Amino acid sequence: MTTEPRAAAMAPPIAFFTIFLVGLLTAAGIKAIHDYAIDLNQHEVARVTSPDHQIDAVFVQPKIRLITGESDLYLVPKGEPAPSWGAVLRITKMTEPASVTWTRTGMLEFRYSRGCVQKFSNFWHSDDAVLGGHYVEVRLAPSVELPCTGGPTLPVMSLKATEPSKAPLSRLISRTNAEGQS
Amino acid sequence: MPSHLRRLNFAILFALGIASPFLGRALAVFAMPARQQEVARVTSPDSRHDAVTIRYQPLLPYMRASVEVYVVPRGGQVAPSADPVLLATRAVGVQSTWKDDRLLEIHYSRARVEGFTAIWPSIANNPPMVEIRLSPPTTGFSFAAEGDS
Repeated sequence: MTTEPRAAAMAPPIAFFTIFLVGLLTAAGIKAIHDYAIDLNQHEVARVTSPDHQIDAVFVQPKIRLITGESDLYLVPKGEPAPSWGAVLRITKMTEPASVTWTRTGMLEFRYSRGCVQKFSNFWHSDDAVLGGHYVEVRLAPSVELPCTGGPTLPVMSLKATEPSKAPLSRLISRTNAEGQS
Repeated sequence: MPSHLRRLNFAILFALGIASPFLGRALAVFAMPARQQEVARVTSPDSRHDAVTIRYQPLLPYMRASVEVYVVPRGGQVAPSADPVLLATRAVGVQSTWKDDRLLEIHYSRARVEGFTAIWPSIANNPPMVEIRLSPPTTGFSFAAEGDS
C-alpha cells in the first residue's frame, strides 16, 4: 500500500483534524445536494403578491413524492423563486383545494379543508435591504374541525377572522396533494 | 499507532465531522440553562390526554423566554425528547382548550409561533390521535410588526 507510509508519516493531530474536516464538508455537501434535489423537485402551483407589491406568497408541491411528500408555503421578495428551505408552512395529505389570501398588508391567510399541518410558523421576516425589513404574519384557517383526519364543517362565523381586502390578493390552489386518493 | 486503530480513529472522526452540525444544535438545546415551569395542564373530555403548557425562562440574558405546549397521556410527564405541538416566543395569554376528545385549541393574544404541528403524535402515515388548531386574536396582529426586536 502506497498510502500507508504517508499516513504514518503525517502528524496524527493534523491527520485527525483533516478527517474531521472532511466529515464536516461531507455533511455540508449532503445538505447542499438535499436542498438542490428539493429545489429541482418542487414546482410552483400558486403565487400571490401582497397588497403593497413587495412580497410573494408561493405555494409549491413536489413533482416526485419519493423525495419529499409535502407541499410548502414560502414567502419571498416579489418575483423571486421559492427556496428549498425556510417554509412557513409544510402540509401533507391535501386532498381538497386550498386558498392563499392576503387579508391585508402583512397578513396572509391559508385556508384549507383537508390536510395535515406538519410544520408551521406564523411569522416571516425579510432582512432584505430593498424591502427594508418586512414582517408578515401567517394564519391558518381550517374550514373543518379535523382537517387531517376529517371532521365536521365549522360554522361560517368562526372562520371569518378579517375582512379580505381588494382582489386579486387571493389565489385558489387546486388539489395539490393526492396522497389520500392514490 | 497500529493501523487498525488509526483507521478506527479516522472513521470515528469522520462520523463526528458529519454529525457535528446536528450535535452542535442538540448541545445548544441541552446545555443552555433554563428554568422550566409547568403553568397549565388541561385534561381532555375523555380523560385520555393532557395538554401541558410549559414556560421556559432561559438563565442566559441573550436568550428568549418561550412557551411550549405538549400533548401527553393523562397524568404523564413531558419526556425530554418530546416535541412540542407549539413552541412560541413573546407569548402572552396562551391557553389550551379541548373542543372535544380529539381537538385541542390553543388561544393566544400574542405570540411568535416558532414551531407548530397540528397533529399529535406527528408520526408519518399514522393517523393522529389529537388534532390541534391555533386561535389567534381575531383582530390585529398577534405579534408587533413595528419595533419588534
